[in-house]
Formats: sequence, C-alpha cells, structure tokens
Amino acid sequence: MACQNEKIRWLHNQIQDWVRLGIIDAACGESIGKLYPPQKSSRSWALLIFSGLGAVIIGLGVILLFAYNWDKMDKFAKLATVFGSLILAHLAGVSLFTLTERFRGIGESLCLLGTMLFGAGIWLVAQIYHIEEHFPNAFLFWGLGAFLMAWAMPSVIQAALAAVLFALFAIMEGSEFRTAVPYVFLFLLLLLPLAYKKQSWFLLSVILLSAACSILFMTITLQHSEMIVFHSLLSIFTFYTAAGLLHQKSAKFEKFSTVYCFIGIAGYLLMLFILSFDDISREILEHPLPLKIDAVFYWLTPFVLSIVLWLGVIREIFKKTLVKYYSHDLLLMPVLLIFLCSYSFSITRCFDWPVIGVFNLLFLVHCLMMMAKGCIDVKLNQVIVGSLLLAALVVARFFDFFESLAVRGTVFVIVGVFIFSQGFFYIKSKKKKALRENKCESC
Amino acid sequence: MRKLLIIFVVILQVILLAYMAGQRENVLRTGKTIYLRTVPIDPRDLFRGDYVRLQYEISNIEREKMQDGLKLLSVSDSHKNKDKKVYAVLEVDEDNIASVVSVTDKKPEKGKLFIRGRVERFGNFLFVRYGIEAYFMQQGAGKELEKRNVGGHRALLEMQIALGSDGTAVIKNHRWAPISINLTDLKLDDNMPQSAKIVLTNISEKPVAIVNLPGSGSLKVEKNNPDWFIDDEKRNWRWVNENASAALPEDKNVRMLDPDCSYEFAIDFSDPYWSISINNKEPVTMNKFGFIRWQSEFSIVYQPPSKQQCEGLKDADLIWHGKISSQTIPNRD
Repeated sequence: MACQNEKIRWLHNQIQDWVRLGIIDAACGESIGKLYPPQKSSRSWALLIFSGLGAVIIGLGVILLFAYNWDKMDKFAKLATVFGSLILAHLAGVSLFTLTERFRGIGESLCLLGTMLFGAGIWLVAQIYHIEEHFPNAFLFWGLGAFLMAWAMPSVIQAALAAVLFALFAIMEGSEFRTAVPYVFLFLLLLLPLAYKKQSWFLLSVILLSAACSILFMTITLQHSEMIVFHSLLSIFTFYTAAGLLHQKSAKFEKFSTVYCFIGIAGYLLMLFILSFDDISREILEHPLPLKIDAVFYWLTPFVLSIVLWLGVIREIFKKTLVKYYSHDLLLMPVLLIFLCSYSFSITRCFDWPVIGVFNLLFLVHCLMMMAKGCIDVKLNQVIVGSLLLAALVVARFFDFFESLAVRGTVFVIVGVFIFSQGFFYIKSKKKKALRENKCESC
Repeated sequence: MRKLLIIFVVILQVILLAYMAGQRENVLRTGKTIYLRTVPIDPRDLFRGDYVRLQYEISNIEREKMQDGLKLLSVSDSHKNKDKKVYAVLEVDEDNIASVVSVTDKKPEKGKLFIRGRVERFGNFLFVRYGIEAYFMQQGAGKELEKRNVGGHRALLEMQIALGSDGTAVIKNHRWAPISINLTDLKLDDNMPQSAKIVLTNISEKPVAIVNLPGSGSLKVEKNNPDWFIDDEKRNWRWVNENASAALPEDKNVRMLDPDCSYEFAIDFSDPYWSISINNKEPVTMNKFGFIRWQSEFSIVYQPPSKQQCEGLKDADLIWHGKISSQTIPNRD
C-alpha cells in the first residue's frame, strides 16, 4: 500500500511537471490525476488517533496541573501561561494544518490541544477569581469553542470533543441543577452534517451516544416519572435502528448503517432487558407519560420521529431493498414503543406477570432470531451475542421467576441443549456455505 | 480564507477568556471592599482542585427583608423561582462587615451598596447564592482552613470581597475572626436541654477582650435554618428575649483573653431568660421544650455590645464586637 502510494505521489508530481512544461494541458492533467487518486494510508489515521489522544491527555494534564493551584505562582503568570500556550498551540496548529496535506494531521492535533487549553483556561480563570456562579456553563462555552473550530477547520476530532462537552453540559445541568437544556440537541444536530461530510463513523457514534446521554439526564430532571425517561430512551434507540436500516440504501453512507444499527439495537435490547425485571418494570409502568408541555417534547418528539422512520422502513421492506441488518423481529421495536405509549394512556392499566411476560417473550424472540440468523448467514458474532443474551435472560429469571428448583433445573437443561445444538447447526451451515462457494468457483 | 476563519475562531476563544478574567480583574481593582462572614466546608473539584465551600451569613435572608416582587413569592413557587436574579442591599458596620438590609428583584439605584445573586431555595428564609461560594486554594491548604472548625469549635472566616457597580462580587482575600465558639457539656433530659457550656477561645495571636453581660445578656438564641414550611405549628416558636435590649457593659463585665485562652459561659436552660413561646402562647423555659422534630434546631449566639456601647471602657479597643453562633442544638452531627 505504502509503495503504491509513493508511486501515485510520484505520478502526481510528474503530472504537475508535464503541465508546467506544456506537454499536456491542465484539464488533461487533472483527468489523469483523478484516475489515480492518492489512497488514504492507515498511517495518517494512526497519526491522527495517537496525536489526538495525546492532545486530549496533555490538555487534561494542564487542567490538573493548574488545579493544584500553585500559591507561589502569581495569578498573572498563570494567566500568561494559559493564554500563551493556547495561542501558540493554535498558531502552530493552524500553520501546519493549512501548509500541506502531510502535516494536516499534526496541525489538527495541535489545534485540538489549543481547544483543550481553552477549556483549561476557563477553569483556571474561574479558579483564580473564585467564580462559582454556574459551573456547567464552563462545559457549554468550552463546547462552543470546539464546535466553532470543528466547522472552521473542518475537524472530526474537534467535533467529537464538542459533542462530548455538550453532553457533559446536559449531564451536569441535569444532575447538579435539575435543569433541562433542550438546545443541546440543536448543537448536536448541527454537528451531524460534519459527520456526513467527512464520512466519519467515529464522529457519528459520539454524536449518537451524546444525544442518548443528554436525553437521559434531561428526562431524569423533569422528575415526572420513570416512564418518560424510559420511553424517551427507547424511542431514541428505535429511531437510531430505523435510521440505520434506511442508510443501507445509500451506497455512500452504507457504513453509517452499522453505527446506527449497533447503537440502536444495543440500546433497545438493554431497555428491554431492564423491562423484563418485575420490580423495575412495575416502577417504570406505574405512572403514565406526562402531558405537561415541558415534558411532552422529550417523549413525543423522538416517538413521532421514530414512527415516521419506521413507516419508511416498512415501505422499503415491501420493496425488498433492506438486506444487511434487517431481520423480521426488528419490527417488534416500533410495536413495543406503540404498546408502551398506549398502555401508558389506557384507563384500566392492569399490571402483573402477563405484562412482564410479554417483555420477557420479546427479549427471547430477539435472542433466538439473532442466533438463528447467525447460523443461517454463518455469522459467528451474531451467534455468540444471541447466546450470551439468552444466557443473561435465563440467569436473571433464575432469581425471580422460577420458584421450584426442579423447574429451574429443567429450564437450564433445555437452554443448554438448545445452545449446544445451535453449535452443530452453525457448523453444518458453515460447511454448506463452503460447499456452495466451491461449486460456484468450479463453475 | 479557511486560515482566516480558523484564526477568527481562535481569537474568539482568546476574547472569551480575556473577558472572563478582565471583568473580574476590573471589579477587584475598582470595586468597593467589604467583609462577609462565613463558615468554611472543604470539598474538592476535579477541574479546579481544592476549594473551601463558603456559607455566608448573608446567604440566608429573612422573609421580612424581601422587597418588591419578592414579597409576592409563595413557598409553592420555590421551584419556579430557582435561579431568579436578586439584589441584596447591604450595610457595613464599623469593622466593614456587611449585612443585608433588604433583598429585591429590582436593581437598586446608584449609590446603594448591593450584591447580585440568584435564588437557590425559598421558604421563610430566602437562600441566595452570590457566585462566591467557592474559595480555591493550593492542594492541601483547604484542610488547613478546615482545621479551625474541628471538635465542635466554630471559627468565623471573614472573606474580603470586592463589589462591582453592578453587584458582581469577587473574592479578594480572607481573614479569621479572633474568637471561636464551642458548645460543650450539653445535658439533655428526655430530649430536653437542661444545661450547657459555651466556650469562647482567642484563636488570634493578640489579646482580645470579650464581654459577659449580667444574666447571660451576651448570649442569645437564634433559630436555625432551614425553616421552609411556615404553616407548621411545631416550628412556630420564638425566643422571648429576641427583642429585649441588653444592659450597658461595665469594666467588670469585660474579660481579657490571651492567645489560645478560653472563657466559659455556663447556661442553665431552666432560667426564665431561656424561655420560648410556641404559637404565641404562654412562655415556657427551654428545659421543658423537647426537640420534637429536627426543624426545631437552634444555636446559641455570642453577641457583645456594639462599639458605641463600649465607649469609655478601659479595654474598649481590645473588645471584639463580632457575632458568632455555636453549633446547632440538637447537634445532628
């Protein structure tokens, strides 16, 4: 790869020379260059990851160094150190970033260090002047600094930092001041185009997780009931899964499908697993969804968005365009969401094991489907994850469902035999697949 | 173009930091300096290191001092009014120690000394935070400050504050009040206080004088916060001597304390001086008043006569005129 890249670089330099000497014209040179685009090497990614990580750690180190609060250091010396290092890091970063493609990664990391030092500066100024007004604002301003840098450069790593800081802002506001800050979603939404522009699955993951964390703490803040926290999170994960399924249609953003589906399905299964517990489930389902204006936004918006996207998914199912991640059991996701919403507003809300039984059954269906699909498609990771989830469900119910030791024992034997026979089925499928491939090759 | 855009963002970052620092520095240089009494508690912050959390006397403001829109607040609105901007109008005594005259939601007119804050909680008292509740220091130094408040001893920290013309407060420095207080030997009988001792100690490096007025006149009862629910009958009590004026001091009432020396006040709660009235009924002595609920907490406060009242006394210059509260009774710690 490296050797090929060197050749391509040599060719591009040659094209520039040919154009300069008039052997070929600029348009022709550009056309030849496009035929051999320089390939992104893994080295540049490694450089970006390590230097980015280094910048974050250096920045945190600076914050902690100043947190020691050196008595002997004059406050103006402290301020000069932070201002000086902030400006230096940024200037060096900007110069390298805009100089050549080769130094772009280092330049980006230095600018990240500059933004970390900007954050350190906010905490340092607060420390020097004993400011204790509203500390989550520090995360907001720091995040805005990173946000602007992310779009100005544009930089994935600055955008990821901004998303994390916005989530921290929402978490701190929620946990320390019981305040919901819905405009955080706007900032996160404004970072999303950058993830698409740079085709960064990493940035997309950070944004999706930040949004989920933010909604969790904002709904906790509302203190209406556990139902709103649960319903909002479930809606968000259902929405992510639908978005992931629809992304399979786009050739350009197909890899985003994995990110959306992974976070969406993992989050959904976690929620469903929680619902499968008697005590927790009772607490969650005890109160209806709140209808106060300040609370409706948090559960209705993700719910509506989720249902709209799932309608789109159903349309694609009829067109048979969804292949990679789709499995029929996923349709249970919006069904569960609608069921919870209707249950919340139903007049006679009976509650007992039949309701929790439904959640357990749903979880079981997902486990079995994952295992079956893994065996049929010969995907070991799916088989393993499905088996682990099934084992988790059985262990959880061991403590609160089966009272009789004999029943417990029987269930364990059945599940054990099931997982064991699944292994045989998987090996059989794998052999069949290998045979098919051999036949195709010989054809 | 892109380079310019990035540089513009960098400049924005620098401007924000410079504004934060510059605004506070301006208050430090041009603001009026006052002192605020506080008690330190020592936590730690992940990003800013060691700091002492400060609970100012002016943070708890009585309902009677609320003016303008704050008069209309009701306890049920407490949650809605959290973070509401308020202005506490201050007056300073001869030692430059500030106390609250009134609190309002309208910015006071020019010339008045005021501090800007935000509502934290609201009930019978308004709990306000002024953005100066943290005092950052070198790691380890926080513990040193806290050491003065161990073993029941309470020492007053007096924070030197610069006040900007818009009410912004910035901490400049701190000093310790020369006297610490400790409530000891509290005897309870069936949850009712019978007797106790108040020990005042000179924690400064110079001799300080205190005043022991006849009939425990230098000691007072102060109902403690929080006292959020005004309708509860059990908490509707008052000390009968809260508005009584104490006798004028004489030389024989003045006690000189050398550094590290203490003076003890013996308290007998069966003395009618310590009577309280519940729901404006017939007064009863405190030894017959049980601590039914934690809301009944109170403190014993040492409050000597003012500078004016002590004029002409032999050691008038050495008398400390500050007010200091003991730990609460019953002590929940």
